[in-house]
Amino acid sequence: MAGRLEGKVAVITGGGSGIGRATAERFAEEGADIVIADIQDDRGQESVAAVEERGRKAIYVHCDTSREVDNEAMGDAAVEAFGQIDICVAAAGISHAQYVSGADPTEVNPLTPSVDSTIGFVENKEVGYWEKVLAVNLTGVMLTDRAVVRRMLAKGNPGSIVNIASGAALLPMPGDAEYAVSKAGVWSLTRTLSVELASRGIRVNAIGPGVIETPMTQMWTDDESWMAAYTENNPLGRLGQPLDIANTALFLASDESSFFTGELLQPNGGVFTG
Amino acid sequence: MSGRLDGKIALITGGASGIGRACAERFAEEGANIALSDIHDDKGQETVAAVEALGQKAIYCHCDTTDENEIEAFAQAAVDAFGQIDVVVAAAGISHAGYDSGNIAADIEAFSEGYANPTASALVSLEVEQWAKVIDVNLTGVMLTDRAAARQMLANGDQANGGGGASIINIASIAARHPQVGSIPYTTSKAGVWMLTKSLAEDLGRHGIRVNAIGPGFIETPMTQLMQEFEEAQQPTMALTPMGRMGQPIEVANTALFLASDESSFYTGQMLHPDGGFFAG
Amino acid sequence: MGALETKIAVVTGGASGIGRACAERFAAEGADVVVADLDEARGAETVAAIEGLGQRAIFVRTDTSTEVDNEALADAAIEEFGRIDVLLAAAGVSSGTYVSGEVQERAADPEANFIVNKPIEMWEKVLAVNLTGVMLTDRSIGKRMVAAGQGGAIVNIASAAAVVPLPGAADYCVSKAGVWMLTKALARELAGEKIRVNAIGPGFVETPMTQQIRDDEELVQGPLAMTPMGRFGEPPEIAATALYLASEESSFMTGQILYPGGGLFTG
Repeated sequence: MAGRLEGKVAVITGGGSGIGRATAERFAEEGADIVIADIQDDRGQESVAAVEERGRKAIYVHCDTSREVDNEAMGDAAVEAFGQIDICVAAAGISHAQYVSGADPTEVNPLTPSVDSTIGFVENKEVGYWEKVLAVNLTGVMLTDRAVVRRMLAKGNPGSIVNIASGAALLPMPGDAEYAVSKAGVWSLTRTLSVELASRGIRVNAIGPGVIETPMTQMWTDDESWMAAYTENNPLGRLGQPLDIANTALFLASDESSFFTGELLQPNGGVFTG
Repeated sequence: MSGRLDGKIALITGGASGIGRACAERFAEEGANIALSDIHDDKGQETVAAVEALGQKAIYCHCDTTDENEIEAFAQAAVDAFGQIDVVVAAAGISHAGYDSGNIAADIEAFSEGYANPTASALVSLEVEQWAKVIDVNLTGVMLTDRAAARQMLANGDQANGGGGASIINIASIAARHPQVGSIPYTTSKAGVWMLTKSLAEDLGRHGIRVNAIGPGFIETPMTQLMQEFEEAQQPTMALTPMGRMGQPIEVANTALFLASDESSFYTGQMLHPDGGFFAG
Repeated sequence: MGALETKIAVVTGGASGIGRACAERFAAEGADVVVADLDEARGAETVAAIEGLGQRAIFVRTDTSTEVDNEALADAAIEEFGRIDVLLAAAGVSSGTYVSGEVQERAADPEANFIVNKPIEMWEKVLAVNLTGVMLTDRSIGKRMVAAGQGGAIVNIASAAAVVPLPGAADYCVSKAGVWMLTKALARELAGEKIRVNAIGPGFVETPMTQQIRDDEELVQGPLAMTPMGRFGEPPEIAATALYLASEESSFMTGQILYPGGGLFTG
């Protein structure tokens, strides 16, 4: 039986770990070939292997999404390898300026639960931190979307863009204003881009995950008292799994969501975000 | 110095206490005459006295806002007394089916049910009457109020031409947008008020009548008395309010004043939240 | 007695449009004003208008996209007036080439500014002024308010575009959505210091920024069709909202965005 993405080609930034990796695997299970983009080459190659285990083809491209030239090169590599791009999942992102996926979660930063979050407040934080987060999380997503859409339009094929934003797009966390601001920007970008492309057969939607068990959230999920409070306040009483987000991305990438564009889906266990 | 509502006539339901009363007094301070209604007549008369002490005129009508005849009669009485209606504040509302402003025992009875049987879904154990009464007062009552007032405003001539300043203000709640700050009937009724506000704004906009809502956070009124008296009830709400305190009725009245006056001339179909930062938190 | 009697207000973008209208309204309500802008000539006009209302004012040339200019602005305000009670951040651009008061060349191809075609420098310029610039201003002024310990009110001018997508102006929309979120985050951070932070998301208003749209019979139809009231707003109407948010009248309001838009749908 044909998969829901049979024969499609998907570009996935941040595909080396977390939500990006889970999405690559899920899409491969449904018959897609994948372009994995990341800055951690070894993890990117692991994702390639995971896709190949599922019987599909994959290539890895090193891509710093905050750089226009990297995104354009990634787009070219995708078209060269697979002929066209049908789907894009922009999942590359950072929670703070010094974020490194998979790094020691006990390393102290303003987002660590036990630390006084006022050190992360806007009036106390260096401007460089703000600029870094915006460059990757907001401008980076715009550049990725742009590079992919250009190639979709050039070929004239329909397409689906899925931007990974965050519940923080609607509700900020203390001490991390730039993260919330960058995600609110991604949500706004998603809507405007969806209007620009609506008549061209390219749909653009976003996902605002809640707290998902990935390297990015480890510093909280490892903290017992944080987890206790979280579990009590979450209607479904659990963390999200990367697969929960991958399934949402699958829905938005496939024809099942053919009348959706400019929407934000929030798989978050039912937590109120506004 | 002239008041911001000089010469204006305001019709206020739920005017005997809480937010409605604070609006009546604040509007009177700014030069308005007031037609107020409630079901608590003695307290309603106290508000009349307060308005008169501020040098303005006021009339009181007993009015159950769920009764179409009573609300139409009230609106007519306002026009008979003052000539027209310029501003409406639909503030009459209840937090549960047995709500009786100032009667804290009724509140304790209503809310203790939830604590007694926490494993059952609130909806599963809900009696239809509990739902229907709240929807009737909070949503249908607001609709009937707005309708009666709009009829009088339009009969007075198309407000778009030179009339100016026709403004309807519906008191909703943060519960219009947040599922956890009240019972299912309460939050649903307030969400309905929000949508009613937006729809009416489109409907009446071309006639020069502006329609907006206020969604207050936790305000110190008879309706939140239970919360004020029991610390366990207060703690979660204070934790959700960045300002760390309850609001005062005057703070909601000031918001109503802004929406009632020409200062908000480019507003319609909007909801304002004096809520101490609740939605930001 | 005015609603801002004895208050000190800093207004960025104060040389024209919404910023100017707010500066004048604040002065009419008894405030002294620090007018910040890039345009010295028109900034001086705003100062003169305020002095004509019997209040004091100074002009400080400020590029709000730079940290150093925002710090200098805050220092100048403290030096002249001793403290800051109100900040109105109205400096903004509609596109990467925008200069207030100048005629913009209209692109022949309406899709020239779609994301797929937009040069990245345009995107970056708009974010730098409209988003990072507002953050830097809020930060510099906010620091001084926190240090003084007397509370305060910050009002950020965003736009209905924070929630209404505008093809060809994605950078503008995104920058304003960012300002809205920044406002909410700052409101939480500063609530304990009794500093309220709110935003305004105006609809279509008669200012230099919309001059070209209004002068074009064809282009003006779009905004008019989107606005139930069927007209553009006037700067004093936006200034009235700013006054409300700057004054004690909105004492229980923080982290909010208000949309004076003539009924423009904002969700």
